[in-house]
Amino acid sequence: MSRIQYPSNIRIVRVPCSGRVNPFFIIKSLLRGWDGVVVSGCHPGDCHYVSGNLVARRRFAILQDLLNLFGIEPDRVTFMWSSASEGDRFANLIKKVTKNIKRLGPNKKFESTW
Amino acid sequence: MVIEDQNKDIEQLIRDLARKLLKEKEVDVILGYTKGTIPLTSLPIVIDKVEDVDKLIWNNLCYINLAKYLVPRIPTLMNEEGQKLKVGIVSKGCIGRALIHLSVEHQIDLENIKIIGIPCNGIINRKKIEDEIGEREIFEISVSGDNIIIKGEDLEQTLPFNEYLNDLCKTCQVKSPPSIENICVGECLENPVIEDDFSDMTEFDSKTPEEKWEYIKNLLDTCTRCYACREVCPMCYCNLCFVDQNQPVWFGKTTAYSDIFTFHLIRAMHMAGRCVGCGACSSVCPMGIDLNLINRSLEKIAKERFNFTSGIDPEALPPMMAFDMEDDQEFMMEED
Repeated sequence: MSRIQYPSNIRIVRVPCSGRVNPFFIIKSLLRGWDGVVVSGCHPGDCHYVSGNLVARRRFAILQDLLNLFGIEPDRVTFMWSSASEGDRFANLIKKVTKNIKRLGPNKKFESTW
Repeated sequence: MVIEDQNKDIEQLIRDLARKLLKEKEVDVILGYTKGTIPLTSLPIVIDKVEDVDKLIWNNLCYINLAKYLVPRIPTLMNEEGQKLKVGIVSKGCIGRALIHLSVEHQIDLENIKIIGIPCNGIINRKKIEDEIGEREIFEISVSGDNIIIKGEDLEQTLPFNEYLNDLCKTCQVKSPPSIENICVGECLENPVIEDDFSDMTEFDSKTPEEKWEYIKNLLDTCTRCYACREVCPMCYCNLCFVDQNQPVWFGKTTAYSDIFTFHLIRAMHMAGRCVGCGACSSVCPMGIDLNLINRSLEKIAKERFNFTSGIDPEALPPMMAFDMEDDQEFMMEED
């Protein structure tokens, strides 16, 4: 939108709803050595599937807490809301995520099993 | 009262209630504990005759969560005509919690159950004792006064009871099952109030991610993925567990740390807001891994995020079965 630029080092995986995001998606990416994972969904109340993002929010809250418990840096996995019309918000948040992850450095926790 | 006398009282309470329930035909069978075949264990037992009531025991090694024997994956207790039997179940606090939570999840019908409530006085941690004794063989273990007496080959040791308790029994606030009308007999808690400050977690929470990673890695590294913790857990009743699922392959079957990590993380994820803190998973672990830290954090997450404690209120919905527009979302990223 409006030729807004965002960092090119992200890859988009399209899912129908943030409620579709299985915790395994996130963990498997970390196991395979991706440096960070972002889950971006519609704002609460805007869900096409009525309550998908509200269900997902509880799931992400617990997943975030558990990743912290197991010693994964909180910035590796990010959750955010950005709707289809908020191109600049999306770009800004992705810039912030990229900055955070660059600060953490590469994800080498599971290097021995690649 | 010393532990030895408490045990005798509890045992007497179980036998009296079991005898009464069987005689009055209020239940068809009683599910309880009996003496184990090797030291440091106890066995579950199903009793259907009044004469057998004296086989029921209580000691500080009754770690199995008997609610497991009522969940769907286990064959149901039935009579010859194929009708469900009415079961009286000897319940310490965590078994009562498990039963209530299972009924909230519509897995068991509390109408068919009588809860025989007992005031649990703590379960001995086998790992701590084995660490103390070392490789030497144990023949007999008993509780005398406030001490544990261990007898074995050229071995007779007295250990203080309080130090060899499970860590979770020290923080447990639901010693007897929460009371439900017409279903509880014996000693049950009326309207239990849980006031937990999670002070045992402060030390771990103050660690940096790197230290936490090392700590958890050291804790879980010996895991052989035998799934004993899953088999004994009353909350694990899925027809197809995620570890047995092979389409798609989410993670490997090896004992590399990445696979152990995923297993324990997803297991914790599935237990969030559901774990009743019975500690059976730690007690059965052949590698002696104490999962108390993970289970306690689950309880903490459920309490702090959703103000929910599993297995207390038969009406309240668990957090992962519900959602709310007003949920806290401080962990979501916002623009600067």
